[in-house]
Amino acid sequence: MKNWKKGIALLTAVGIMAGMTTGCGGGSGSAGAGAAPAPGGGQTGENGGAGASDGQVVLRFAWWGGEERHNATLAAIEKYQELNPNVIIEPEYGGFDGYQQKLITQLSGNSAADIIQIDQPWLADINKQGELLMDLNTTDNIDLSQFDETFLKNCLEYDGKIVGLPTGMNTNVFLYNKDVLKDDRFGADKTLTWDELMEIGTEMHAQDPEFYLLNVEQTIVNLMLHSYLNQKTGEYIFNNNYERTFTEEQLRDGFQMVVDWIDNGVIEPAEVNGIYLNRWYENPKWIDGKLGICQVWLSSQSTATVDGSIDVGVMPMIREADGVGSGVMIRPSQVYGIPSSTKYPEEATKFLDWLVNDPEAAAILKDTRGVPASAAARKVLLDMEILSEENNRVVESAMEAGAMTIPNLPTGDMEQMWLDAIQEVEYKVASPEDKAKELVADFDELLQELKDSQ
Amino acid sequence: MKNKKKKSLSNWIGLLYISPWLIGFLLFTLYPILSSIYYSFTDFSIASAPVWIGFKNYIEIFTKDKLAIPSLAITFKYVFLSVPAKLVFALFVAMILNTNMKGVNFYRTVYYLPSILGGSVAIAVLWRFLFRRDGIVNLILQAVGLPYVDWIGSPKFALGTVALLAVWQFGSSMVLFLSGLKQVPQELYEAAEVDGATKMRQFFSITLPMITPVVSFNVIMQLINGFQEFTGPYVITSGGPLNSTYVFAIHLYNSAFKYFRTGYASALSWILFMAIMIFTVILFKFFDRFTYYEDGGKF
Repeated sequence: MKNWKKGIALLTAVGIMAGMTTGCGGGSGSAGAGAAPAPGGGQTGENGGAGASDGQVVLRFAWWGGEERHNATLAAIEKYQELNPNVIIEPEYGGFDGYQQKLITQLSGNSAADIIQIDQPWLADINKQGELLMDLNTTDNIDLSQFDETFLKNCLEYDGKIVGLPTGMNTNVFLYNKDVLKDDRFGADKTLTWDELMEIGTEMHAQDPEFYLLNVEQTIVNLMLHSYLNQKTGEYIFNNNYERTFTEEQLRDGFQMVVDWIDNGVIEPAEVNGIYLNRWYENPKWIDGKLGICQVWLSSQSTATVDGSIDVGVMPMIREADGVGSGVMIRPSQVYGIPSSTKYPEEATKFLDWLVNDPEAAAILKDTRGVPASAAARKVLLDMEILSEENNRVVESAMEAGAMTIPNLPTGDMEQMWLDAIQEVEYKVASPEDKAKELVADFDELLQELKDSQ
Repeated sequence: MKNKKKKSLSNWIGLLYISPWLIGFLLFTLYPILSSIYYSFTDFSIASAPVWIGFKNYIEIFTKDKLAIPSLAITFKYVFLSVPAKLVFALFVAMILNTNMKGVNFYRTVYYLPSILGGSVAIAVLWRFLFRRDGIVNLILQAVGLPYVDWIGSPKFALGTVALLAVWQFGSSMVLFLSGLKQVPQELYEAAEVDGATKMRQFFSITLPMITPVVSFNVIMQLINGFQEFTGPYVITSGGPLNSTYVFAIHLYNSAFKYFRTGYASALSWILFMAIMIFTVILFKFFDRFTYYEDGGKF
């Protein structure tokens, strides 16, 4: 009798333990979904890896995105499996939150998916850690001729290796509210200068004190300042030797311009726009049509419409006739890469080529990863009228102007340093003169440190 | 002899019962804690192997890092703003809910609700909605003729506004206070009433002394939580404006997950641990002198 009781006790204890461990397993699986709503959540293939029963290959494909991108990508996968019955592709998808941390951990543990979506700014750090990504020059399966050579070289070449392919192209543009800015100073073929921007903004704010021409927060001001400096110097804020390219006076003028924007009512005061950091589209004034233009990436266009309630037009970035640089940034929307640890480089590269170059794939994926970088894919979308004539013109005008080259080097906490400086100028706790002097000193110090750690 | 054997067997069964927790603790708490000590002495990013660098991380925190010490100061400020306000408010509500009014259970549930919501993105949106320049709070202020305040946008007020989120989530302290209040013997109040003590006098001479164990528990727990606060400042202001809500935990998170300096972040976390430890010890000593234990404090 006693023994029997003990047996039961043991059983329940073991049962609880078993429940615990399986519970944990399930938990970590769904954790991949992150915070964003993802149908099906972050799927982790139970039967992945092992793969090869009767010649079948199982590839894992990881990306982040929203619902639209998920659905399009899943449809593309289905199509590919139909065309290639010997390949099974397991999707691993979710929101952006936590994706980077997960990816870096997996890459270092050689357990990353066979095809991975990467954000371009992470590449410098990833490549610093060793040869984690496959050199796509080494395969004949991918048709690299479809991509603009300088674009590939500027954004994706590290130590002579092409470590990824652009999922799409992104460029900084003016997105403007068509219902509010109706006159002929605004349009896909129009460009403004910095002075014109100041004039129009001042004038419109004087007419309606509630109205501000530019919808910005500090990260956007930072982007604009980089463009402003590029037009003065012809280079990015630092070059491949980790040298500062601009002078203290140029930076001071840039800071002064920001202060003048605030004083003239071209932008909202820092106390108001500061709370929409990285969420400029949530600013109620943008939704109410009391903000005219936002200088952001072209890929933000659908976000800017706020669920279709605003008619958003596209306009090229500020141009200066006598500018040395164009101030235009072109970068991949994201990057597809193949980890060196993949067991199926042959099949993975074939799938990747299909994904970026095949007209059928382009028609399914549409513009869910920005304007396609591959010429073949872009043509398909133009024909299908998914890529609007207007957007195509702005993209082509950006390519013509020639993008500024951003060095493929680790930047540490450079961005935070600039954002902090801009905040101090916007909140007027430091004068443009003082802050320019201070930032130049701090920036030089950081560049030296980064150079030394190479 | 036989008895001893039996006892040790039942010990084993006991251990077996708690083994899920034990294994979890060893694997997911003790091991990470111990390894973080080691990592704090190394240069380590998640993707590369740790390299021993001795005390360099700690030296950097105190000499070179422009954000570490200020963020620690902001964390102190945050704790001193949020913890007292939260506890006073929790005690106040607990006392109201300790009466025999109608539907009291319903109110208890409702007042606990904010604590369940935690620091989600939805809360951040709500907070911006309430406290922006043309938000509801400012509309009310203006309706009674007061000027608006940039609750979130101004570096002067942002930390207080974020601390208000913690105050609003007073549920767990309230429940503890409520249970403490229920323990206070009614005779004491009756006797005081007979002697003509005012309600105020009753509160300070009976209620407060009788619930000191709960008060000390709440203060210590909330203090520990307050020092580790991350979600509130992170989702509402991301540490801004002008780093006025850049608490230590955000600095720690950024070091680990933005700049992938895991070794450095481990060192930061040990600094935070030390700070919490010192404060807890001081508070324990402090409360030792005031706390009233019915059993004479022997237990």
